[in-house]
Amino acid sequence: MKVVIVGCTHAGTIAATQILNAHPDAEVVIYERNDNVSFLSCGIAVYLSGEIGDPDAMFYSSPKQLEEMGATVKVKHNVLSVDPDTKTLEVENQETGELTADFYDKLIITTGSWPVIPPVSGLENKNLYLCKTYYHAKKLFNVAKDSKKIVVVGGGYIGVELVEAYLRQGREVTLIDSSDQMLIKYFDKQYADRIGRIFKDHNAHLELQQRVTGFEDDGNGGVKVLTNKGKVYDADMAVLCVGFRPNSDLVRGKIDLHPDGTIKTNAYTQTSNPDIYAGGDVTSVHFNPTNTDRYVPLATNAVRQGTIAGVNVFGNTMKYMGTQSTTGLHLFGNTMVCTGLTLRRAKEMGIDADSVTIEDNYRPEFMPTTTPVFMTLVWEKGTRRILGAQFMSKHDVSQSANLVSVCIQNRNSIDFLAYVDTLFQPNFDRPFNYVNLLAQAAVAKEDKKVSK
Amino acid sequence: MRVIIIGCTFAGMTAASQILRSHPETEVTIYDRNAVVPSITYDINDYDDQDAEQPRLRTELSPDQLSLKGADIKMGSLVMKVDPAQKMIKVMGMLDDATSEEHYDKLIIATDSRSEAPALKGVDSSNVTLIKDQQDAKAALLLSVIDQQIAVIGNDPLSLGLVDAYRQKGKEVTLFTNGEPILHHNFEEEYSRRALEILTTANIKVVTDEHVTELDDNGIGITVATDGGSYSVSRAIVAAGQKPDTSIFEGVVEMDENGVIAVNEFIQTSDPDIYAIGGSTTIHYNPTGKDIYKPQPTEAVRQAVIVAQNINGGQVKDSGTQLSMSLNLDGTYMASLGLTYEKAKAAGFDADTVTIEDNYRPEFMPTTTPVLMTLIWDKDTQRILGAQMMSKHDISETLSLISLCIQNQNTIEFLGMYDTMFQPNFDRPFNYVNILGQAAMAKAGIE
Repeated sequence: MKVVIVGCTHAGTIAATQILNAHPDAEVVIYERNDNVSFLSCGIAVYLSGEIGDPDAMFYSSPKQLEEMGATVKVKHNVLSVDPDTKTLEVENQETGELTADFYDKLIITTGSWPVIPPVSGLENKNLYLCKTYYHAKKLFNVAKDSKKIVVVGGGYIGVELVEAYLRQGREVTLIDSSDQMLIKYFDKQYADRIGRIFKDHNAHLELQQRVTGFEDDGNGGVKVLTNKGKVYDADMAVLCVGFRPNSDLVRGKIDLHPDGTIKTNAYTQTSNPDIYAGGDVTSVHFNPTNTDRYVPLATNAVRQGTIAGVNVFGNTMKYMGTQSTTGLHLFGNTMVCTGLTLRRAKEMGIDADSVTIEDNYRPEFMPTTTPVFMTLVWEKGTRRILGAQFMSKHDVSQSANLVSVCIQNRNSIDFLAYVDTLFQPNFDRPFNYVNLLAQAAVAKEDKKVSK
Repeated sequence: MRVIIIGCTFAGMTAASQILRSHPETEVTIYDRNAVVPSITYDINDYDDQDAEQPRLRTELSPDQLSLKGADIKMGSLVMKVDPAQKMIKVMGMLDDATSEEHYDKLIIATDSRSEAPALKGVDSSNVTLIKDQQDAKAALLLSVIDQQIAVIGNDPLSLGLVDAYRQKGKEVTLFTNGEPILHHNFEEEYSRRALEILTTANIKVVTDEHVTELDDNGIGITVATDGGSYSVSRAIVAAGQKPDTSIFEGVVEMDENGVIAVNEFIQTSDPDIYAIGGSTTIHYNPTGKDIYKPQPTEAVRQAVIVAQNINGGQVKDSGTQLSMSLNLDGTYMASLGLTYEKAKAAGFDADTVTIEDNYRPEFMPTTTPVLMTLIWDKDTQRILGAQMMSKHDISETLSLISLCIQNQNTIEFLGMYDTMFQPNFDRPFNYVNILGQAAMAKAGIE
């Protein structure tokens, strides 16, 4: 059995590891355009903030390690085409230009994603950067050393993390986003406003509700960023992070894709061709809160799909459970985590939903210290099914998002979460965990019997 | 509507508070035979964190606050008889012996359990203190102000919590576990071994291989005699069992031979207008699906909240418990829920277990901390039966998360693969609960 893996970041690395652990005699060939594998791009911001000295530590595997496990790892190799009928590939050695053919019994497409480049003018400006790979990280770190003013375009996860990292390095940072709030896909406006105030306290400029229309050379080695509001922002460097798009050109026309270009997969991470599996940022994932496929390019989904693809190329035995797209940020000591849908997203998707937001201390006030937790629960009216949650606190509330993720996966109701047994110890929380209290507030609202 | 609550206990006061919050017009009367309310508030467990300054209590549970909200609290009132046909109770004032009959629409039995002392010679001495719950443990701590050498005889989380509280107060503590590894009923051996190490390092004497045979009150203290030696201390603390205090309800509602009142999933007794909560009744233990008698403050609160809704026409079911416990031994968190491997076997499961240790977040972060973790599951169904963790990192919410998995009857594969967040400040691309689930999957032969 010969398995070829195209692309080796998270899904590819984990699939290869899974296969070689369970089937040491399997033949695994990996093609990767970079000269490295498994880079944790989610750690870039932590590196840029100065907290981690060495970005080389942010790999959890290496070509050497995979080779020691028995894989053939071809880095700096680009797969040019796939022929599913003959199960063959055409591959280019990027260093020598040499072309070779290869064949597979099973193929795993884990080609990932690439930052979206918006159709604006001046993209050739040399002070413009992307944020995705190991080399991007190193470049962003080095260039920032000599940059006083930095413009970040896009207020999603990466944009916001970059803003925080550069503010911590004492840079003057401007964030431009077309929405009326940062992090609009993940958090309610109240959360974005809270972190926005902290950013402003660190002298960040938040320029919302405007779209970047182009970049211009300022004649002094810097860049001018122009927006549709007619504003001009001067900077020494600008970083583009307005989203990701799937790298699916290799298989376009060969297997079924969604309209957004992501690869369609079934519950076994199998594509429309039974011998081709796919995972990671090149695919859509099953999004449990809505029971539909959705593009959620997160490392967490990639490692799960990679594991499952690695199992199922030997026969479909393991199903992907889908995702809540649970994610989190750590900004100036604040934990911000979320799972599932916000109320705004739920309504956009046509769900009759409601939400409640409360703030309570995570443990009793008589303890030596306690910390407030700002939290939101979103549910479907009528069925009372939990759809999403958000938490923000100086206390580490990350596991609370994972706890609500358990509920969404199980299609639990707000009533379930309101009274379910949680750990009690006064070092930790109240007789009811703050997550229970949040659900109790939801129950009160849904029952139209709002207390107090 | 008139609701009578028997027992101004943690459970009783919580029920009263919840009823008055949602239905302020309800006439709520609490009868308790004690003259004064012991300080029953949410702070009952704060003995094990001596850093707490000026306990600021959640006031809604104090009798004064309940009175302000409209509850009528009758202390020193002994309920002598319940007549379920007439919905009447007969009450006697303990000061004037005057009796009266009171009508109820709904009756809530919320009496606390009583201590059941172990059969041990000298256990009734004045320098011996029994502890059955957190309130007793707190009282024991207050009682021991001048005692310098303390023997704690017991091996449950309550006893260990008290050992740590005494350590914080600078007492010389000796722990006797009567032949068992430390916390044997809640943890696997590796945890016992590490707990022993922590206690020994903290200068606590731990006696695990001897059985206590007698407590001899010598007037100024206690001599603890074991089958291997004798130990002189100022005070001995003995973990006690619990038994229900329900004799006046005999013939009124169904109960077992030990007096434990039976309730259905709505926490209703055999009489639909009478509910039983707290120390008078059972809890539903999800890992085995059985009703067991093991009163817990958390369960009392949950039952009280559910009953408060159900007497007003609600249909809230008791979702049961995983019996989670946790404690902090000198800065190390230990938490456990559900069945240990040994208990799972004893309950008839074809069980398996796995124990691993992993850092909670990547090593490239400035700091990280190892978490020791264990999962126990049923091999037939792959269903999770129990979990344990130990770490200097706060693992409390993680155990709550696994509690929800057991409640949902989730499998080891669920825990291994379900969606969790990743951000290097908090965890790895697979959260450590996923990694624990995957270790179980590997052992179970699920790839």
